[in-house]
Amino acid sequence: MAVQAAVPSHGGEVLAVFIKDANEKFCAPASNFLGMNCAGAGSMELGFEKIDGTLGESLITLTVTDAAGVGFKRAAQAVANALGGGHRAGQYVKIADTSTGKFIHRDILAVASVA
Amino acid sequence: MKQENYLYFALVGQNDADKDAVMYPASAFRGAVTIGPTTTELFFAPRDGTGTVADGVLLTHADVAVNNVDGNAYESKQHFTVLEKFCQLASGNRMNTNNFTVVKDLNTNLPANEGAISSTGLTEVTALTITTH
Repeated sequence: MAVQAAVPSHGGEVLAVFIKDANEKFCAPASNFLGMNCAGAGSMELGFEKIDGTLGESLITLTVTDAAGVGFKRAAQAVANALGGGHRAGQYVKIADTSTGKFIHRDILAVASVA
Repeated sequence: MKQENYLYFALVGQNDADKDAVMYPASAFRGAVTIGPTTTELFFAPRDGTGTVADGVLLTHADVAVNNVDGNAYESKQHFTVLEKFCQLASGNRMNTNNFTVVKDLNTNLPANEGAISSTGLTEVTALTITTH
């Protein structure tokens, strides 16, 4: 008997989700991730390709633990691990949800803005 | 989607100011060029998504000794070593490794013995200049 393989969503890649509140949410495939930078003490900016196909970025700003930059680095590692493909292929990964207080890492504290 | 590898760079200090640290997907790497005897710059697709001027990470490393064969300083070993090690880190063909890769972290507050969090990256690199848009 043939074994039917699960068919992952979106061609088998991670869909990253960020929720600020009931009205401000963002979801994008990991392959649209452009990069991340420190924006200030305890502030992390994540850029994704714009979902309407125009040039520019959709910018997600996370509040993270500062801890002399170490909290920032831990949060960056957590984001990298969450976005990575492999065994997470096809998964809907909620990286940060301020509305419920659930985050993939304790050093990610809030979704400050979704733009 | 092939498993992506994410490359991390951080400046000296506490990484508490704008552009003190950056992380790019390895697939955003556009190329590298030697700038001078002690500098090599890595270019990435811009994080702002405009697709125009590349972001750059300028690496400062040990001075280049003049190549004894042809006297050309820009073909001597230090550039080669830095770029070879960068390519090894950026390669996605690394089984059973973390996909969070520290190319260089100059933060002096890192804890000990915590894997990638403790990693300072390439020993040859002594300073970074990050240019983003």
